[in-house]
Amino acid sequence: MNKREMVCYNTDASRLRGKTEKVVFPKNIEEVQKAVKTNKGDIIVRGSGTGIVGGCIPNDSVVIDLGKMNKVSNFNTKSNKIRVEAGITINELNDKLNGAGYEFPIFYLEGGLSRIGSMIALNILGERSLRYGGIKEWIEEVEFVNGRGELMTLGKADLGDVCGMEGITGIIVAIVLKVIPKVRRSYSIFQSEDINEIFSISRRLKLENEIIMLKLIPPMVSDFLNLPHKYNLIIEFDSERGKIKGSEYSRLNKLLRDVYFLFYEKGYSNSEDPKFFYDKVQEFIALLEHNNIPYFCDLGLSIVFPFFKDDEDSKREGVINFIEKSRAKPGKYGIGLNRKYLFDSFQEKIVRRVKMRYDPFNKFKRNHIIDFDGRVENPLPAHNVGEKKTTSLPLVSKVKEQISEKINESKSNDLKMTGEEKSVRSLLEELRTPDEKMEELIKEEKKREEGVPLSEEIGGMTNADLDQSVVSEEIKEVNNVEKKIIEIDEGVSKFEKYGISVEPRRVEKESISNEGISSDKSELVGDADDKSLVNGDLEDSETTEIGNVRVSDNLDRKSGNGASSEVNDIMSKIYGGSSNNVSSNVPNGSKGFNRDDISNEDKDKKESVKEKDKKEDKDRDLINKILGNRMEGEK
Amino acid sequence: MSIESDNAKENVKDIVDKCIKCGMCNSLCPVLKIVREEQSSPRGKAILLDSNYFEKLIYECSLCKACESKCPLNLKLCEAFVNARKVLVLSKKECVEGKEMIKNLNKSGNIYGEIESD
Repeated sequence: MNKREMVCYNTDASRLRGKTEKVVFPKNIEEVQKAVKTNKGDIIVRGSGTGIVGGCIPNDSVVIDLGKMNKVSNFNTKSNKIRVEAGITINELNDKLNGAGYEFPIFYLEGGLSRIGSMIALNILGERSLRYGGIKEWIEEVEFVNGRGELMTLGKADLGDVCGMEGITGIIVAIVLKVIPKVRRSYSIFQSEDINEIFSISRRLKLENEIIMLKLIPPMVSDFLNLPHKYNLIIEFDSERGKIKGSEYSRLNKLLRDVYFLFYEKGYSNSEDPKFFYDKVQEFIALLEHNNIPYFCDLGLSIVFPFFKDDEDSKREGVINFIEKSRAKPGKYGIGLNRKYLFDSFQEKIVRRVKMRYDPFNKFKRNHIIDFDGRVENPLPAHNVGEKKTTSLPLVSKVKEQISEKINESKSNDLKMTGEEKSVRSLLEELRTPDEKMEELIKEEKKREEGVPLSEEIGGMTNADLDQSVVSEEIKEVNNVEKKIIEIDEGVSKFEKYGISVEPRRVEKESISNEGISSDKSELVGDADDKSLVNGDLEDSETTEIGNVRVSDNLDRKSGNGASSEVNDIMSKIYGGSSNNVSSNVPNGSKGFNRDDISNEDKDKKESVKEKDKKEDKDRDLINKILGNRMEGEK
Repeated sequence: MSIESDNAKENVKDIVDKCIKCGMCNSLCPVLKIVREEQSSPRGKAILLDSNYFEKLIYECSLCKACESKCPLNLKLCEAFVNARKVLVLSKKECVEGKEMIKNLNKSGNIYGEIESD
């Protein structure tokens, strides 16, 4: 290869630029081993070059292109396993498998030109990973060449040393994959103008076994795709249960894969791919919509893809700030050179150890993911045995000086020190009078009541906001405990209204013990409700059928301790009158039960039950629409 | 360099400058499927042309326009490659087969150089 022709290996879809020293095209494993052994400099393995984080940008490196290693062998239809070389693309593999009536279900990127080796190095979540999981779960065995040029075979237990390491531990050369018989799939589209409705319904649909993809396309992007100007929730089924099948299915499939192109066409050529907790997604979307940033979202995997034009750097920085603060994880493209801010510092230690084990001389991908000093190429400064290490001392001594100064200051204020040493922070805390603390609390409470709009700063949430919310929650809890003590005093009479006799002695005990309240009380109210609700419409608490969807109550457990009133609202929306049952199922010790509403719930319940019945009918209609007409057929 | 080749070069530059290097064109390229090296892919060739590399490598294209159908910016890459070939011919760097073809055409009226016998 001509030296000038190497220019095309200097860059990829991230549009960063590096410098290539040499390009190698190995045709088999031996040639890969030879390339690793003979080269002492930096080695970078290149896939198809479609990543947006600069994963294959060289830095005076030898680039190994595995494109010519694309053989398929040992296809076993009994055990559904196949051995492939790392350079084969996902499209090529599926073309070959489709001929035999099989397929590899993890699908990634629109063109289908990403290579299996790079997919494993990134441990990617494909389009259908909501049910099929990451690619790691489809690997039986990985063959890879480590930093010493040795060929290693890793079984399922050690896959973590290669999957998700982005190629810094070795070069993946061959993989034994699991495949499945080809499945006929279908789509349904749910449209709504209310984003809350979309979120509450998708939370339910995520629990469905047959649903493999939930993609949210907001009104702004729906216009690009010629869909109605609404929130479009596109649901893919692993069966023909959806309404869009056959030729229409493949048409919509193509349209969805063209979403990226449509963004590029409009000039939005930069994107991010953070993966949040499900509850954080809505907040992030609100931020994007307020700042008119186009996006689409994989609700199943909680990955949001915001897009930016080249001249929108300020917007992008704001969004990145938010992503950093909310501790999102890298979604699809990994960390590479661009996204080091998403790298978990706790994980860094583990990555370092693994890197040390497989690639001690730091041959692969220098400065990618972590800044790692190899054993030989970049040796650490040596120290004489007799001398003390001085490199780390200045910093430590500075900190010590600062601490001692502060302690001296506090001593000069006639502070009585106890025998044990105290941290400066605790000393400063003690210096503040209770009045000052109260004043601060009141100020924060006032600020909270005034409410700072999300719009002012692009980040939306500042640290101060987060602190406020914590403080306000604490205040709420204190208030709740006070209210509870009063309410429980009156509680006996209230329960008696519904003809339930409650032993006053037991209630008094609960009011004293703080921990037992939430669980025991929820049981009490649950019992009371069961008797108070005259309508016998309540459905089973463990599994419930809405239309033809069978939904388990795992949601409550999934939503975890943060269940709170929000989840209860959504549950009541979907379940209608059965929300009371749901609250009674919240596991012990969780904050799921809304303690404020004990008295209010009792009063409003009879009125709300009628309204909820109406809502229930509406929601049933909605979910029936999404999930096809099986119910109608049964009727 | 003639004005004609300068114009052709400008035309190439106009098209190639806009490329965002997303690599979608590579998914359908029949040449890349066989050769499997980045420099013979549409993106690779666009990068090379962008860095003023007008060499015989540009002939490694079937001008089928599959890359254009996948390009999100609808860039007319094949037009750029044809113009790049024009530059090569005008600077007398064209491939040997091309030269021979032109000779045959001048001689006998067909590219194979065979004289029709009645």
